[in-house]
Amino acid sequence: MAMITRLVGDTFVVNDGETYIVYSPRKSKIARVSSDPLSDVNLCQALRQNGFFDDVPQSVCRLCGFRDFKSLTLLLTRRCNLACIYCYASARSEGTSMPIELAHGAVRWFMAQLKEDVARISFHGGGEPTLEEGIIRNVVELVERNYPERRRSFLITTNGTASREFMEWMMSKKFGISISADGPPEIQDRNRPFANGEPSSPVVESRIRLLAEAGYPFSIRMTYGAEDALGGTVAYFAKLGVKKIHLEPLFPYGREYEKITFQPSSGSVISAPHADHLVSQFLEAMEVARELGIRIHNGHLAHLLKWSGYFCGGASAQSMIVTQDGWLTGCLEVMDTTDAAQQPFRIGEWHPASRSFNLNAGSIDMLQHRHADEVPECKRCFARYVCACGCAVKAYRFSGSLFRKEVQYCTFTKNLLPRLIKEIASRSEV
Amino acid sequence: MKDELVVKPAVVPEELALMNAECVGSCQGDGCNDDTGCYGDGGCGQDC
Repeated sequence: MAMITRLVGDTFVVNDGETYIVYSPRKSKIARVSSDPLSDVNLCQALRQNGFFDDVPQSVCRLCGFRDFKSLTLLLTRRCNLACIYCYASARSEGTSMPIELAHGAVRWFMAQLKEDVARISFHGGGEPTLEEGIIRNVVELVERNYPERRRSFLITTNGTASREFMEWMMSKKFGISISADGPPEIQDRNRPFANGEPSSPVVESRIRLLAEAGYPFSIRMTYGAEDALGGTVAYFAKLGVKKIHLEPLFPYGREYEKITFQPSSGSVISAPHADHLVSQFLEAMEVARELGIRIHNGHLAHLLKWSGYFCGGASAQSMIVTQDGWLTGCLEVMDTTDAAQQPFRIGEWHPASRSFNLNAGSIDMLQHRHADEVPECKRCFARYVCACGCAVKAYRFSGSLFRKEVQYCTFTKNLLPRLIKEIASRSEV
Repeated sequence: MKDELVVKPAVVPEELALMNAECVGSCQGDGCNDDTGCYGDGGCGQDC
């Protein structure tokens, strides 16, 4: 039977059989009561006195206009040496890359406006960033040379095929490293072969072992389909020495997905899981992760403890994401002018003559309106500050509107969250 | 007679990596490996 869940101020109330679980993630407090606290004035008052039903934190409030970018992400190239069957970016073995002048200009402009103590600079895909190893080394050198007084953090999401030497160099620079990989060879080589058709699992496994054997902190970013036994995949990575896995299901909303539907009936070798399946797969992964002592992460649950009104920094104009051809995108998945989703996500452009970025205030304002308190389908949902309406680009590709939600993952979140709260109650012994 | 209200510290499953900083990033993940459970895009600017 579905567990009825409500959100009252900063507190969840979950109907669990004859009792009610009252849980405040913000206060890290939980209780189980025998009557509905919203129908019992004395009980409600007692819970208030114990810190429940407080106001939502100020941090979830909607942003009004551009303030500053808090991090920089460079989408270095459209070129990739893999040919992943579900590539959201339609990357190819040939493609254009970011000119070094643009990379330097972006770093200088970002650093000039940065108000934070730490300069966070990421290198991301849309192509494989390590194919532009020279630009990465050059940007790191520029930051170290020109901003020696600034604390800094370099991060990369890579497909794990870079040379050992370059991996070791990134480790020496204390990069945060996330390797996109999908599991044991039969899954990795099915989903993520090299562009020439060769299996990628030998080299990717080798790079994962390199990091794990050095005791280097890193994470795996894996995509899974309906056909995959998630527990087995988590166990595979654990055996390689992985400690953290960011797992996300296959979404059938990539750029060429009108040609590849990824529906179970399409004949594709991999398909997007439906909501119920997503929940059972995730619970299976949790169980295996617990047994093996590793941690799993998922975008729709990430904000459970610290709420947010926005799903991500890109689509709220807090992250500066620069495409290889010089515009600012509100989404890592929208990265060139051929993308039909370009218009709502294009929040600025590089202006070579002035060596600065011009911001598009109208697009920024539109994206900042996509807030948990404003999306009609979400603004009364109990999960709204946890999933924060979900991923903007997936909603847009799914519905054609920024102000809708993506249904399967929404259902997953709303089904899983009460079960998680029940699990928290169990482990808290209430 | 009503039961006594018992409030306990919430024990979150340790196998779940959740953001401890008030971070706004949760999209593709950029490899943030600070021990906060944050794999976001760095948009928060938190010193995490």
